[in-house]
Amino acid sequence: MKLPTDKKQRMQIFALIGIGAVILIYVLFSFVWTPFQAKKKEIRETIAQLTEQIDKAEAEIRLMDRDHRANIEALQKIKELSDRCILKPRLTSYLLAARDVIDKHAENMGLTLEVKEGGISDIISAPSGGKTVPPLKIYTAYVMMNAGYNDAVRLLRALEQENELLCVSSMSILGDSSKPDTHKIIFYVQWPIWTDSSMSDKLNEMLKAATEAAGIQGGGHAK
Amino acid sequence: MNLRVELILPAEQRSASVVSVKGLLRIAAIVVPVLLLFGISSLVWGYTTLSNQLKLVESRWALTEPRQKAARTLRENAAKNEALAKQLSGWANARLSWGEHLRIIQRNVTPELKIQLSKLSIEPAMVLVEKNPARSFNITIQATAFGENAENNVLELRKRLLTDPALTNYVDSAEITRFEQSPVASHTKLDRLFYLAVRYVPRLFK
Repeated sequence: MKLPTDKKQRMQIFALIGIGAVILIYVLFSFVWTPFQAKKKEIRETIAQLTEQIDKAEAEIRLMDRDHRANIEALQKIKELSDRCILKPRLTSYLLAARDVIDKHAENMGLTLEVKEGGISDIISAPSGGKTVPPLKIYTAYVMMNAGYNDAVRLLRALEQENELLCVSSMSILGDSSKPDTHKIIFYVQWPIWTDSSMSDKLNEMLKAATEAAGIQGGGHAK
Repeated sequence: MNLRVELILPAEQRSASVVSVKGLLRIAAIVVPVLLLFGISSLVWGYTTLSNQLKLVESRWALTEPRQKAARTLRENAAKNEALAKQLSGWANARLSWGEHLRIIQRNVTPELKIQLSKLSIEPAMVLVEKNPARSFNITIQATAFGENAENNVLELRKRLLTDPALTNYVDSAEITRFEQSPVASHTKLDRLFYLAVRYVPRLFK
């Protein structure tokens, strides 16, 4: 295509080409370059964010072996204390279970006593807004007997040495001036009990599941 | 007077510049589209590369996220179980071995004090110490002190309960809350009935 010979017309064509070029560049810049750059920035940010999340996640995953061990140790400790120290009902009766424990020691010492129901109560705890149910409650039984001070001390020591979670919460030793060696003794004994009575069975399942999970996670070395 | 004669028609005139406008236009007509094409290509290429990187990272995250959730669940369970184990241990810490403490109290009531216990009671209470649950115990000893040294002997018993090394970590205070002439008919005017209240330091469930 030849340019017009007329200088004025030629300048007009140059001006039109110039304007066309500016418009094209503006359109390309506004509707192609800028949105693409914005999208690229967004993708870069997403990649950076995901990479950070992955690094953080991998750091957490690396701690799984330690957490498996801590979980198993805690469950083993809970189970050991549960089996040995937490009072479990005989069918539905905690009193029968409490009597078994106290009568065993009393018989060994040749003491005669009565064990009676005290009831179940909650442990006082820091306010949780009622959102959580405490896993433990307190079962109380009370014991009445006529015995010497030393007999009472021996019985309490035997009970307390056998079970470190058992607590003698209240006691009254009343002397009788006509019988200086015999006192009227009443004491209250408290045991922790599971709020959920099936907790003992659940603990076995939890421990088994935790051990298996640790085995899978750590290739059998986490135990 | 100078005379200028234009022998070349305006249409036949040519620029004396080395770079002609026409030449520039021809170069621009090639260079500008090439530059534009290059810019757009690099933009698209960069975008595609980033998109592929994103897909790669997303697929890594898709694999990592469930494992992270499992790790978090495990940690929460471990923390919960550790707290429960600690709570159980707290029961042992919160109690007092009364078999041992009654023996210590008895050891301190020696014959030379001439004191006869008539009643000993242990009263419990559940309290919060800085928002932590704790057991609190108070002992009340009701007894009679015989003879003219009754007052000194009662004070001596109080002192012994406060200073016995086996009790110092446990006993918070010991107060004589009542001290009077014994009302029992068979006792003498010098014999004294007294109440000794011993307060124990609260024992936290932890």
